[in-house]
Amino acid sequence: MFTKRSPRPIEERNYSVYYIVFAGFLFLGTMWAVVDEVVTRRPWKDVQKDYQVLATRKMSEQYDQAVAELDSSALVELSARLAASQDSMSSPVYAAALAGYDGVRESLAKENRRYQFAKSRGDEAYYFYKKSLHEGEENPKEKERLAGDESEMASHQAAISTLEKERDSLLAVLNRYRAEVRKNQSALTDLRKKTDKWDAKVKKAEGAPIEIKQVMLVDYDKNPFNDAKARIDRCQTCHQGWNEDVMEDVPQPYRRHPLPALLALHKPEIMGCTTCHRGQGTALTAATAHGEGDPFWENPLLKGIDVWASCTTCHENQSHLDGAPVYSSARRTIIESGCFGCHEIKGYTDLQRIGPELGKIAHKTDPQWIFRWVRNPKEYNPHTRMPNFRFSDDQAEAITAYLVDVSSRAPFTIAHGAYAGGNAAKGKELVESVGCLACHSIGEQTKVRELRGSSYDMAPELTRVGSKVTPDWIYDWVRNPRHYNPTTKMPNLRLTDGEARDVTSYLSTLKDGRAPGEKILDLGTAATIKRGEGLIREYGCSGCHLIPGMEKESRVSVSLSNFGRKRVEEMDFGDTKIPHTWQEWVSAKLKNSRAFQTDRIVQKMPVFSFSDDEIARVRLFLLSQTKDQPDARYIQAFDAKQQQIETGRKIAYQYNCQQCHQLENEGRFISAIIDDPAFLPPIITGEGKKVQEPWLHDFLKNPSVAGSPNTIRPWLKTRMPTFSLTDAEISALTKYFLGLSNQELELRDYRAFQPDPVLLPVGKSIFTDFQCIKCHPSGPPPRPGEATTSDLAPNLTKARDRLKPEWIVEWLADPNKLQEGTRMPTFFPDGQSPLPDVLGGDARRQITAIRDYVVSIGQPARSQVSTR
Amino acid sequence: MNCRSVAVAALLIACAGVATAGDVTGKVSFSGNAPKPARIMMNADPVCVKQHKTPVVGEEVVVNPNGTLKNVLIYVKEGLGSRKFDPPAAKLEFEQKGCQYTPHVLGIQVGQELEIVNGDPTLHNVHSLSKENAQFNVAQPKQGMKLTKKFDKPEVFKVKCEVHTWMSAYIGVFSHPYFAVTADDGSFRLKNLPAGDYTIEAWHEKYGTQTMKVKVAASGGATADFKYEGK
Ligand SMILES: [Cu+2]
Repeated sequence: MFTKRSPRPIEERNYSVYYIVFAGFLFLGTMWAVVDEVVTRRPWKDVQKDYQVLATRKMSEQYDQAVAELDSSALVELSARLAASQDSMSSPVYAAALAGYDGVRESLAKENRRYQFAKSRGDEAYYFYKKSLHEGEENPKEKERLAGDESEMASHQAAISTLEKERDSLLAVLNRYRAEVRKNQSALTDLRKKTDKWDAKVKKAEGAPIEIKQVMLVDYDKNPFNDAKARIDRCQTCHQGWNEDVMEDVPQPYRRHPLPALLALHKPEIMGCTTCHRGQGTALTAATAHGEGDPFWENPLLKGIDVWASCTTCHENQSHLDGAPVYSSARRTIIESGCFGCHEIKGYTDLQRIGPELGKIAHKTDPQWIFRWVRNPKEYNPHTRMPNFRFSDDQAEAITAYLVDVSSRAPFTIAHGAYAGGNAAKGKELVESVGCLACHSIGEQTKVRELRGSSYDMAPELTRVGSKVTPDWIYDWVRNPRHYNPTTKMPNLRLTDGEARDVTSYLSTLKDGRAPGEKILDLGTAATIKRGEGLIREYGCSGCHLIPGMEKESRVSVSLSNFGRKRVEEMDFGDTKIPHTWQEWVSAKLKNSRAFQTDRIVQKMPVFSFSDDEIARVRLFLLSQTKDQPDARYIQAFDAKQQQIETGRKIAYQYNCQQCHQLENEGRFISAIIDDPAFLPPIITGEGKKVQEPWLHDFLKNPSVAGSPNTIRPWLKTRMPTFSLTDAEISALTKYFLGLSNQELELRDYRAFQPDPVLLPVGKSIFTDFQCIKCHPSGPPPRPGEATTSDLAPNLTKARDRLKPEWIVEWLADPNKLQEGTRMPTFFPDGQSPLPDVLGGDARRQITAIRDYVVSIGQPARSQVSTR
Repeated sequence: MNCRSVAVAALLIACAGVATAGDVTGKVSFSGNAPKPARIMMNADPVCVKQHKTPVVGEEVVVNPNGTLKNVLIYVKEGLGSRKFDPPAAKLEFEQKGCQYTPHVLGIQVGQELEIVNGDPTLHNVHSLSKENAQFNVAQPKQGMKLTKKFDKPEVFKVKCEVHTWMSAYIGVFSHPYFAVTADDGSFRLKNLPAGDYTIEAWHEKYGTQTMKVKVAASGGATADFKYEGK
């Protein structure tokens, strides 16, 4: 049965209610879409509005302050003066001058015109007159006409020059008035410079359009087909205050960038932000742009110190970057920890192993010590760089067996009993003064380690050394470390035999008081030795130590070349419950490299004892190891100069010059135990600019012996050690220093430098006036044993063969600029000479004169030759 | 109109009207054994030797006959809030005379001018070992040479001469005028402190710092006596 439908025919029914209702829905939906599009989905608009309010307020404060600082009386006076000068332009004198000027100009124009007409007539007359002459009949009429025209021209000419004079004098009057106005105007502009600047800034901030701010890097990225791919970066849409000093202390996203100096080199207007900070550049909401709350964002924002990982993208070949101390120290941590021994790391495949050679270890210490060390190195020396492999007793026994076996066969003899007769107290004094403590901690003497701030020492702690090695060995070692270990970085401190005996006597008293129990070791069995050899190969000991029979072993672990892009899915988290992120995995691994070990999966990476800071730094380094490479023109060129610098830098790191010297703003950790900066080893960043290359070569080959005539700084107790550098190493270091000073290695005949004969005597008299000799001995070098007159400053007889002439000038102008904390005062504060009557008071010329005298000191033989 | 001067004027009126000022006075006594003053040998520079008829001793610890300690720097450490003080127009003088610094300890206000004079016919250099303020190291090779310096930040720092290794002095820079150095009677007076609670600090180059809290009442001042002990 059908229910009866409405009797009304369809044509007569009214659907307008439905129509209106649905039209209403449609309308609302459209409205919603518009609102959502314009407001809800554009949170950056609110950010920009807030920024506008904040910036306007901050800038208005600056404006108000500038107004407050404005010298109001000067402002009133200047404004009055300006008004007066403008008023005076409507004075009768000015008006008369102006009217006169205009009138004169008019008359001048008329007179010029008349002159021109007269000249035309004159030309015409001249033509006809000449023509008549040519035709052989002088036409007197034309001659007369010509004379008349010429005199007319002369009279116009005279009138013109009178008028011009009149015009000029009137113009001078006008200009006086105008100049006064201009002068007042510019004085007022100067006075209001600050207020006007802030006024303009406030207005600009107030009227700033609400719009997306976008930087486009057309050719920075590459797509997989190696074509340029545009990178779009809209970070500055919200981070609007990045370049405004007033926004220094405000909350994000409005805050100014903390490193304006770095931005001056990497302009965000061109480079954008994501090149360093990563993040999704096109995104316009904070969460998406920063890649928060979701592990699958491809480019999450780099947080905390991780941002320094980005430097590697363009500077991958540099171990040190001046503006990036965190980056540089991360790299140093990698180098010093010897990560490259097991992992292939780009740029660090050619470094020397960080551990000692083990080829003669049986001659150095006894098997019991080796066994305990292999078992757990931190037990003997908690700050050793050697990580803990957590070997079992059996494993350690086998490894000991192999090492003892191979090394006891190595030929090595030392004199027995030669150490006897030392004085321990004197030895202690020597150890504490000549520089041993710069690298070695002993007992409570850990200040250098603390200043250095690393969890590890660069040289073994000596607190228990008397229980590790014999006095015979110590004596042999301190006298010449390379006898036992030809590749050691321990330098020779040129101890005399007596000093070496004293030092040996002292070090032998440093015993391990803990009396570890002896363990009966089976070291002679061939099977044990064989097993030890296997373990050493398996765990890659030869990555850090030179071991006989394993000189050519390859690295035992993975390359780190793209580790920074390793995906979380590729990481095994073992049985741990830590969050599955790249950062967490790496941190946990560095904290305890066996953290992800399970009963099925054995891990071999040894356990390091990194501090949390070091973990963060190593992690940032790992993060930097990617294959992301921008277009070549964005990459710092690794040209010959950069290569030379980096090569030398690695040698400096290897010998750890930075432990005592400040070099490229790093190091000088020895300052922890030397209070007075005057007694610190010098800053050597500018060495290339300072010393002559042949001198540097000789010095590095054989640094002067303390107390000998060659000592440059006799007041230093700390000795520059002899590093037994090869000529190649010295050459690399020289090029490094030259590179740091933007100089090239070139053959220069320093002896050809001749003092200016005119300046030389002047220099001598200034030298006397300034009493330079009070501190600088400048006579012939004292004979050994002879009391020196002064030990305050270098002997200047060496200046000629040591210093670059142009450096002396720079030094005299401002010593503290080149060697911060130096005892050498400036005699020319603010570039002003205290001697106004010498060389016209010209500081630069006086300095040159002193230099010319200084390089002539102590060269009698030479000057005789040249005068003959 | 200069807004800042209005503010200063208002502050002055407020100070004068509400909180009257008082002086903090006191003395710095010394007990125990003072180290025997070290004899200074000036042999390295004959010009210095010539200027002294009697032996010269170091000024590191000077105990006055009345059992007080000389050369102690006393100053308000806390309690002035955000008050600002303009530097006085008067210059202070710091002289090198007889190869010693006079005075040995000196207090100066931020922005105030210090005139450093060489009163000796020999070479001196003034090397400031300041940490907050820019260091300077200027030679004065001639008698009568002058150098004027100003300091931006408060701190106490050492000054030394590199030519005459025994020469040293200390300069205390303060952001306010409430400081003093004890002299031959060991007493001091910090004048015209607005009423309020203050922390007063005493500084001595060998014996270090001591602090004391004082209350300067609306009428009258306060006393702060410090005691140093030798070992
Ligand atoms: Cu002096």
